[in-house]
Amino acid sequence: MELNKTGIKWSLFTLAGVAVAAGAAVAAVVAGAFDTAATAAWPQPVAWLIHRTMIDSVRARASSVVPPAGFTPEQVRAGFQVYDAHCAMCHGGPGVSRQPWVAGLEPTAPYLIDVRRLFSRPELYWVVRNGVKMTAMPAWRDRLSEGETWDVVAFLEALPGMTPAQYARLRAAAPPLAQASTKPAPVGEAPRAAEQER
Amino acid sequence: MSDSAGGGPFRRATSLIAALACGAALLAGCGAPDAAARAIGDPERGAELVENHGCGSCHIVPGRASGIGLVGPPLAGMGARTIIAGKLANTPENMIRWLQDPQEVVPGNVMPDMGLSRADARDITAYLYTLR
Repeated sequence: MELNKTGIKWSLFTLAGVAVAAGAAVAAVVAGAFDTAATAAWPQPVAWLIHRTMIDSVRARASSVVPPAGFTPEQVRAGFQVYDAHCAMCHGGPGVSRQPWVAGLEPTAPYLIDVRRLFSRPELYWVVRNGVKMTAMPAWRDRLSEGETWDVVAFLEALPGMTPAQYARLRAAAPPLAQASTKPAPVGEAPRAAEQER
Repeated sequence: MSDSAGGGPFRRATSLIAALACGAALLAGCGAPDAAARAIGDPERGAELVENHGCGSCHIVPGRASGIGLVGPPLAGMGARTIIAGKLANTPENMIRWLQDPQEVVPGNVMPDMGLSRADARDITAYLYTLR
């Protein structure tokens, strides 16, 4: 009997606690307490937590991706074209700056010269394909084919050994691709193309 | 063992005074670079710019989660360095010039011209000079 009473008492306390916490959370949202401005940087512990969460999430999900054994120089060149058209504006290149407005992103987009050290081949593929939630990184799976995505990975892996002069030579040799938005996705190709004709 | 333990009250008092003096000197030493940095620009704004411009993707930035890059040198101790960019004396004016125009200072290096204004470069320099 005594034990039961205590049990009930604590259950009620817990319920009341949960209700108060939920009420406070709702009140904070409705009052606009959280600052969503991109000018407000994440506090460092939160920034670390978000980054860590992203890295481990990618690692867990990319483990099923089967990577090619290697890449050809043609793939690196093709990957450069995709990268220069769609990625360089936010991620820059060797000796090449990002667009100035990218500094206004929070979290901002990193330069990728070092990215091979952080992510394996399947992980790079997975990030390009699926994007990163709550950052400006889009999922490219409806814009780039699987082959094009591997080309981008080939280029990213070649990036650390690339000088600004070599990057500039690739730029001069290959005219940049059209923007991804004008490139038909694998699904719904015909209507999109038709729309653009008009 | 017994030697150090049996130093006597006088010796203990002297070491305490010495420790306090060192502490005070350290505090003064910590204060001085900050004052020097503030004479150049706003180090807090500089720290924000370092974050916003993605410097951490190529440099280790002390105390920043995003500062994990191993492309350029770590930024710790940047204010105390003798030479920057592999060729310039580490003066505020040279640092500002290097930050504003890395491709002109060392053509063909991987650090991009980031379009920093002189005020931006000054504040980043002020921040870097707090790192000693």
